[in-house]
Amino acid sequence: MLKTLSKGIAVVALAASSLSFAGDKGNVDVIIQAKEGGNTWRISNIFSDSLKEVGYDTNVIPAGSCFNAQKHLKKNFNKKPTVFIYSELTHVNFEKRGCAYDLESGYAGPLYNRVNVMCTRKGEVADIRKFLASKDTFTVAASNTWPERIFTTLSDASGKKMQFVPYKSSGSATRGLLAGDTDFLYTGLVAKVAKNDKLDCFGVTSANPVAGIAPLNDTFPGYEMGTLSATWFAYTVNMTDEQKAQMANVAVNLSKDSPTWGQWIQDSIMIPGSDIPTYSVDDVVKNTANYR
Amino acid sequence: MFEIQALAPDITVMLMGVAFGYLSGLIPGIGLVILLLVSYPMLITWDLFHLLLFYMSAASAAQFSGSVIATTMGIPGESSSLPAVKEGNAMFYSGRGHLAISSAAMGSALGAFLACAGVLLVLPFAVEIILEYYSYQMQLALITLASGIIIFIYGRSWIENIAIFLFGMFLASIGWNDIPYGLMYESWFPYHLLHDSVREGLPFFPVVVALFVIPVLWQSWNINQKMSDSSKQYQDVDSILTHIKEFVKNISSAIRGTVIGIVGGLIPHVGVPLATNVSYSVEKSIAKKKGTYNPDGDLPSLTSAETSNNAAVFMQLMPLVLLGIPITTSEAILISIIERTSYGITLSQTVQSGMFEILVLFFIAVNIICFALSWPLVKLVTWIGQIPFKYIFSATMIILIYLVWWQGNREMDGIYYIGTFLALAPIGWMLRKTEPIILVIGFVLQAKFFESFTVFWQITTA
Repeated sequence: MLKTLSKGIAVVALAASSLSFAGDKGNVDVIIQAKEGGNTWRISNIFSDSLKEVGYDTNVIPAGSCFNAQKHLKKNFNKKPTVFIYSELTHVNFEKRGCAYDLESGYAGPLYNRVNVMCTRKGEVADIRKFLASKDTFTVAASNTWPERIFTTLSDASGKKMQFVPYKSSGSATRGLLAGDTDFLYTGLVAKVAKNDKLDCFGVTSANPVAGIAPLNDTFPGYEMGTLSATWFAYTVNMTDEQKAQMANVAVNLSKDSPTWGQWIQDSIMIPGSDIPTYSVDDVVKNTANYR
Repeated sequence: MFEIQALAPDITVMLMGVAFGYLSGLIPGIGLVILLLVSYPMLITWDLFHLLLFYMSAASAAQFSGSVIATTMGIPGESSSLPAVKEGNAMFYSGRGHLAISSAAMGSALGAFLACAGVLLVLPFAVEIILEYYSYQMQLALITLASGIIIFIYGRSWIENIAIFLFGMFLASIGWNDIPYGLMYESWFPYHLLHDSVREGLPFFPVVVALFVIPVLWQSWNINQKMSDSSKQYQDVDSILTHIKEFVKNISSAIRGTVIGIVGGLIPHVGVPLATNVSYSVEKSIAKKKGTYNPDGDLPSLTSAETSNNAAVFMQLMPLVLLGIPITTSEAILISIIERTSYGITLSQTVQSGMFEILVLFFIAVNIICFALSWPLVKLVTWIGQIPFKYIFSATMIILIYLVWWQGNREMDGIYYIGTFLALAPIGWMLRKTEPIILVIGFVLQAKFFESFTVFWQITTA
């Protein structure tokens, strides 16, 4: 009887210790400042799951927009530690809306770096150079979050008019290309683009090939935004310096320490934070200029 | 056992949809739109699946209860209940009300099942066609068609309707717009002069309560509340077999009604009432030609109309589920709730994820439940008929104004929400003799219209 009781106590103690380990770094809110169905939504949820794997208890706040997120932060009277994913591209778009965050005070550490990609419909363009020579004006479907400069400089480099056709999201832009609206798609290189068997991607904004896709500058020599990429980082609110430093460490090493995040980074062909550990807030400020 | 537990939240949402739908069908003036608004605090916390499930259940249940109140009391609870008012109520007074109710219920269920089967059959082809051909031209054409139909069919004058539609779009364009080309980009409205929150745009809830609910309740206020004859008692002396035999006699009418419902349901805004009334007219003229039309209530005409309305209810969901385009006012309310936190509805969320097949199964279950409830419902109808509608309207308005305040506080903007409501309420009163649903459609479709138009503009001027 005593033996059974002690076994029972041991099991309960083990369960309790594993539960306390699950949240031993404390409880944080993870705010999503984008709408459901988009990349940011998906990534923020993966981020929250990954934080749980490395010892945080998380509470996802689906704010939907930066306006709602800021109202939530104001309402957050007990100053609960909060974290969200943020990037140079997001920052510039939030600036336009008048709801950007102060980079210096909240930057924790880099999560990943993402390049962009240009694609056509599968099987429609056999030779991209011949296709470019076939007419003077081309249309490019892209999310409305991209700055127009990406397309004006592309026009300069190609000697052709590259007309930016803005959609409300990258998903809508992809559907637009597939339905025949435009000649090209310009979007961030994420897993669902890389794995989309209805797309032929011919160029990445990188100096070297990524996932077998050639650099965009091979097709458009001299394209000044041919290596444009964006870094996503952890942004913290209501955290002490110690908590912030801990979060910075978590962000940089998340791809190594969290199986979910590591797998996702690998599937998405992104450069993990652990490969760019010294990426600082100054680098962020510098790169935001490319998106203005 | 585990499966049932896992389904418990879905079943609860479905039953709530049925209950709300029944109520909206029973009370003239309190349609699905107003009930969606009253349930707003609950709906904004739900995911896409539960929102669609709730809506689908409510829309279908409203057709069942609408038929019952139309038959027993001669009141058109729903706009599609007019054939039931004419034929069903006449049957009620000639002592055949029980057959009218059973045939309407069986017809509604059959129409729903056949519409589901038809849609599931063509769905794989429809998905392929949409992926291949749903270009900006088609999107712009569909949105223009959806807006055009409402402008040219409803109300007193299409010029007035265009003005109301444009006013709705104007209100929606205030604040930040996500489409960076076209007429407006950043907040063109001098929001800082009024309230800082204006940069986010006008909040949907107070706008709709002020500009839709006020005129609709005003119009319903003076509705004729005199019951046909509440002393007339409902009696059913026949066996279930007799009910089934009566329905089977009119099965060809039910099938004709289903076909008309499937086609008619796809017509924006007027789909359900149009399909119902067309089926009714077709069946009535066939009966008159054959010399079989019964002036004391014609069961084949009623069966056709009631079968048609539920087939149409299911079909009108298709543009919303497949393309994310609302074609009724209640769908417009639903999409505005969905778009608070998502990019709207896409094929990948509904069809490619397998959600749609589950919704169809629930839709069939809803129809079986509503069918079974049609008889007990008669007693509830008699009870509800005793409540003066003016009390219901007053209570609804008070609840909605409170919800404006509640929703505003939830968004940390109570003053802004109440301010928006108070600023627009006089305009709502001025719109009492117009068709306010046109304004709601303009308000909700503005972003989609601007996106399609911007894409069109950029491509055609390239």
